[in-house]
Amino acid sequence: MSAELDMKEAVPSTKGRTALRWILAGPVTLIGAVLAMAITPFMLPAGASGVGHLVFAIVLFPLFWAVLFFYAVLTERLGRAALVFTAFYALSAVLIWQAFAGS
Amino acid sequence: MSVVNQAQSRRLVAVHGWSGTVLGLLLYVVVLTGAIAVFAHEIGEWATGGHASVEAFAQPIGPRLEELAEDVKPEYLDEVVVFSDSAGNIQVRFHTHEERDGGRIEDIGVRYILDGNNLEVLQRDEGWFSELPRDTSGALEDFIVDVHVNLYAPFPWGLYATGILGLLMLSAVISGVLLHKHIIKDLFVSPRKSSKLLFRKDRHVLAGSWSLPFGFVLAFTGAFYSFAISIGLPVVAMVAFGGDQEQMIETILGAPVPENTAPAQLASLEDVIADTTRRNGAPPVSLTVSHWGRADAVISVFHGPTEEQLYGQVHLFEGTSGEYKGPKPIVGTEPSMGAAVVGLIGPLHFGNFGGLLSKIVWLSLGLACCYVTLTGLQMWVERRAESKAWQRLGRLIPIVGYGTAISLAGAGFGYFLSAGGDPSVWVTRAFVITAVLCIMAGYAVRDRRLMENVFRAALGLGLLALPVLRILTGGPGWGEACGAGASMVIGVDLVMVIAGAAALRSVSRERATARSVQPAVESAV
Repeated sequence: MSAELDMKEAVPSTKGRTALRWILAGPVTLIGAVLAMAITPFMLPAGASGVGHLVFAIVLFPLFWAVLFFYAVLTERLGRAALVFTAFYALSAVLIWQAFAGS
Repeated sequence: MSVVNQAQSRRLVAVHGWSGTVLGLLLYVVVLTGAIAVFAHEIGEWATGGHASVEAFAQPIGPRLEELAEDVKPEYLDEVVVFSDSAGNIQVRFHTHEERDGGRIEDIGVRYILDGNNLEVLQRDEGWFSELPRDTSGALEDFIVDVHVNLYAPFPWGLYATGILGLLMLSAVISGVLLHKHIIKDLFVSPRKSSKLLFRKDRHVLAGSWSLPFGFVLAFTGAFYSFAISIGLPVVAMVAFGGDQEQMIETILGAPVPENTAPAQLASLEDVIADTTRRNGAPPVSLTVSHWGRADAVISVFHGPTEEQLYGQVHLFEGTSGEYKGPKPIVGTEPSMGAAVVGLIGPLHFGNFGGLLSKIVWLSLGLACCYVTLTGLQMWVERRAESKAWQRLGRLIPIVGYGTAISLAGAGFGYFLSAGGDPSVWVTRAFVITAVLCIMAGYAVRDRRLMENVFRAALGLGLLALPVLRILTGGPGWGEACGAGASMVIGVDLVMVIAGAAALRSVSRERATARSVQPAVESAV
C-alpha cells in the first residue's frame, strides 16, 4: 500500500475532525503536559529528602506529553477526548488555585 | 502482532512520517551535533594541542589561590570556582551574584586562567561573566555543544526548540514501535536488493529497529534537559511552593549555612583534595569555595563518574577546619530516589558512564539515529515524486545531511585559522560561511548523484586537512604529542584521517559503480 493512500485514509472524514485532532494533539496536549507536571507534586510522596515529588514531576514531563499526544492521535471519539481534556484542565486549575490560596 | 487497528495504524503512519518530515532536518542537526558532542571535551583537547593528562589539582594550588585572592575585590570572594579546561590550564573564578538592569541575577567577578604546569597567570579578566572575552581554549567544543543544546538560539528559545524536537523524536520512536508488526524479525531483516526503494526501506527498518531503545532514551532525556530548566523547574517551584522561591531553594539545595562573617583562615586545600580523592577513588574535576576567608566557608568538591559510581558526586567539607561533612546529593539534602534518578539522566544522555567505550557506543548509536532520520525523510520524499514541494524538500536532504557535517569541519578550520582573533567568533563565522557554500553548491549542481559526490569529496578532504592544519598552525606533531602523553590528539587525528579517507573512498566506489552501469545500460538500449 502506497504511503499516499496511507495519508488519504489517515485523514478523518471531515475537516472539522481533522482540525480538532490537530488542536488536541498539538497545543492542548502541550499545555496539558505542563499542567500534569504542575499538579504531580500534590499526588506523589515527597520521599526521604523531600524532593521526590518535585523531581518525578519534571522527569515525567516527556511521558505526560507522550500519553496525552497518543491519546489524542489514536482515539476514535474526539468529542469525548475534548471533554476529558477540559475536565483535566479544570481539575488542574482547581488544584493550582488551592495551592496558591493555601500559601 | 500490531496493537492498533487499521484506522489507528494509518494515523500513526501519518504521525511517524509527518513528525520526521516537518522538523526532521532540524532534528538531524540536533542529533548529529549531539553524537559529536559526546566527544566535545576530547575535540576541545585535540584543538588546543592536548595536555599530558594534567590533573587540575595535582599541584599545590592552595597557596597560589591565596595570592590571587588578595588581588580581587572582597565581594568577589563570595564564591570561588576552580577547574581544569580543555587546554589543561586551570581556571579560577572569583565572583559574586548580582542583579542586572533586567532583574536577572548574574555572576560578576574576576576570571584567572593559570598555566596548568606552573600556575602562572596567562590571562586575567574582570566584569560580568557573560561579557568576559570567550574562553578561547573551549571555543570549538562550546560551539558544538551550543548548536546541540540551543541550535545557537538565545535562551530560552533555543531550549524550547530542542525540547520540541525531543518530543517529536519521542513521538517518532513510539509510533515506530506501535507500527512494528514484527519487531524481533525486523532486527534481523536482510535488505532486499530487488528495488532501490525496498533496499532503502529495509535498511531504514534495520537501523531504526536497533536504535529504537536508544532513540527513546535520547529523546526522553533530551526533552527533560530542554524543558527542566526552561519550564519544569519554574512551574513546579511556583505551584509546589506557592511562589516561595526561598523555600524552594532550601528544599532543593539545602538550608544555607548560618552566616558568620568573622575572618578565618581557609583549611588546606591540598589536604581536602587528598581526602576527597581517597574517598572517591579518583581526583576531583572541580572545586568550589563559598565565603572564602570567612568562618562560614564551605568547600564543595565535584567528581566525575567512576567505575563504582555511574554518575558524578559532590563531597562537602567544612571550610576552616577541612572536616568532611559527607556527600551532597544532586538535589535535596539526603540521598534519595529522586536524586538518583536525576543523577542517572546525565550518563544516559551523555554516554559518559563507561569511559571511552560507552562514548564510542553512544556516538555510533547517535549516527545510526541520523541515518534513520535521513533515510526516513528520503523514502517519504521518493514516494511523492510527482509533488514539486516534496521534491524541493528532497533536494534539501543531502544539502543538510552532508552540509552540517562539512560545516562542522569548517568550524574546525575557523578555529585553527583564527590566529590573533577570537576563535569563538571565527568558529561561528566559518560554520556559517561553509553552510552557505554548501547550500549554494547544492542548488548549483543539478545532478543529484554528482551533488552527493561533491559533498562527500568536500567532507573527506576537509577531514583529512584538519590534522594537517592543526599542526601547521602551531599544534604539536605526533612525535611531540606522544612525548607529552597527549594521546587524545593522536587519537582524534586518526579518526579524522580514517573518516576522511572513507568519505573519499565512497566517492571513488560510487564513480566506479556508475561507470560499470553506464555501458550495461547503453548496450541494453
